[in-house]
Amino acid sequence: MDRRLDFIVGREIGLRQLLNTADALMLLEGAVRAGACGGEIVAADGALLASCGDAGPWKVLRPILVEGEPVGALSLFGAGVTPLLEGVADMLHTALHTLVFGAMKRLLTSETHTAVINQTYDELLETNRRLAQSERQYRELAETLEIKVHERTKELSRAYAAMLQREKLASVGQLAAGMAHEINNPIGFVISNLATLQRYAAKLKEMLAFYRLGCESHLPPPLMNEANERRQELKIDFILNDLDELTAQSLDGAERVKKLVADLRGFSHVDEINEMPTDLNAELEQTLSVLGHEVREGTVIERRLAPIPRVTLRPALISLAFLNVIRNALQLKVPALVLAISTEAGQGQVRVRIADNGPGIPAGIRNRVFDPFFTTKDVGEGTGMGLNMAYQAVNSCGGTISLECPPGGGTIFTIALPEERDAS
Amino acid sequence: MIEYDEQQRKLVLKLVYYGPALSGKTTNLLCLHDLLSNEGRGELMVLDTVDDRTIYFDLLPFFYVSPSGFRIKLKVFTVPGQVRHDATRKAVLQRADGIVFVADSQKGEMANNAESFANLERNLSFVGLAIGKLPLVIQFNKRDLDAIITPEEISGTWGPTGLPVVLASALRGDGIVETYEQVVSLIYDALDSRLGLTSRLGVEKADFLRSVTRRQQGYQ
Repeated sequence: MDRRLDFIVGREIGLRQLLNTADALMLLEGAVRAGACGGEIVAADGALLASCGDAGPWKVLRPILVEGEPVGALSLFGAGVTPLLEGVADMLHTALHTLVFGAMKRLLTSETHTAVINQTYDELLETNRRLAQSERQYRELAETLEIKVHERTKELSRAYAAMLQREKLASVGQLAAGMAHEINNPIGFVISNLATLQRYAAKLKEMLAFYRLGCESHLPPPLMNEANERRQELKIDFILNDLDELTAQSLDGAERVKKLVADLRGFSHVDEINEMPTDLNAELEQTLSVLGHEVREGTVIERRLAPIPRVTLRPALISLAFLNVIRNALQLKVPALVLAISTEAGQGQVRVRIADNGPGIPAGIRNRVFDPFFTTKDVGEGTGMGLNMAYQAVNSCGGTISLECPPGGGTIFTIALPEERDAS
Repeated sequence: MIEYDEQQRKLVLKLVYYGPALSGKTTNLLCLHDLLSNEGRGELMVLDTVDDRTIYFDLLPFFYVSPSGFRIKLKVFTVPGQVRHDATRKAVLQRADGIVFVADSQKGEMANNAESFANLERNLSFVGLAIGKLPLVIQFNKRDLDAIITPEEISGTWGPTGLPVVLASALRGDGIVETYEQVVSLIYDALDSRLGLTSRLGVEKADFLRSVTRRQQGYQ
């Protein structure tokens, strides 16, 4: 802080501050030239401000007033109190008053001015300080804003990618569900007709046998020969043997189609968008069934599904998670892939473990496998979205998904879901 | 108070005429200058003005010497009323011992009065003075004009504050000395309780008041 002149408007001002000696001397010298022996100006406290010439025997005294109060006195000396001396004294007195009054005015004005300037300056400093502070705040805000926007944008693009993928899956699910519905009807009557056909075939076989055993002996020989020839020609014996197997196979195939369609329908959960108590074991079975075509030959899937309580969640979400984790494992390029899927309950949790006997995940990328677009697969094979989607889905269900790679090899994904969820 | 010197037996006081622009603060001082005897006062000092509007302040000093030899100087100031001179108002308000708030009685001026009074409160607290403890007299000036608010309206507004209100016309000289007398009396009382003017310093209230409110010969 600067050293500051602080004026109190109205403070007492002495003669010395209002009258400078040079001005006073000039006036006194004028008086001497006009005929006075000498003169002096003395302040109220007795201090001599200016003097000139000699002290004479006679003295003319005039008080000097400031704000109506005497602050000093003018004395002129002469050989006698002549009208001239009186006149000069009056003139000098008037001049001094004018000088002092003007000086007083100037002093007050400049002091007030200085006080105002100081105060305005203080206010400006304060304003400046506040402005600088608010500018700093805004700058900080702007800086963090950039980071925040960056983070949010990243989050957003992540969410957007996941959403796209989910939507894609949802629409695929819907398509699957629609197709399932369309297939369901024809496969229904195909199965029914096949069963009927089986019955009809049995009846025809019975009738044919009856003819051969009961009627053939009664035929005239030429006709019997012709019948035998025709039978061999048409491979009737083979057909009669094959007929049962054929219909049984067809029926089995049709039944499989029917089951797949039902699983597809269940898996897509098109009718179930709300949370509901869900049997995770059943969901796992359904998922495995849907993924049936992706199971390569030689792959062994071990199920160790313990009885577990139902968990309240959105079935579509959790089956999405299962699908992605299991599919990820199924795509491992190892001979004799063994997939161990187990469930257990305890400590208020239901845990689903999906373990494979693959090479495991290198420690360096373990924390990235749930990131979107992260994939180690060849271009075109993986989207890098599968495990991210599983992660998001499990999160949405209020659970956690983690992975570990035991020293013996392989990877274990564990999905843990709370048995009871807080209503939120 | 501007200065209190017990050894020199001298007290310098400050009385400030505050109020909105053109409410007649300078006219109050001119009027006091004309009406009061020049025996107990100095000359009115009007600092520079622009278009006859005060930009610094006006100063009219009064002084009194008690029989015991104690000197009291009372400097009466006006402040510039225009909004832009707020810094000057703050400077003049410093160490004030009493305030006369000169309000304009004209009907259209009530908002300006209120604004100026709020400004007074703000500035007093800025210079460290409490408006509730300071001798304060409200003067409604320009009672000689036509479109003015009624005394009932005034007392309706100001009555509840308990502040003394004086109706005045500085142009005619009505109520001006009364305003001054009231505030000087309040200032004396406030100082008496703080400094013991009567008991310790031998300054009698009646004598002091008589001296600083002495009328010019020929006026009654």
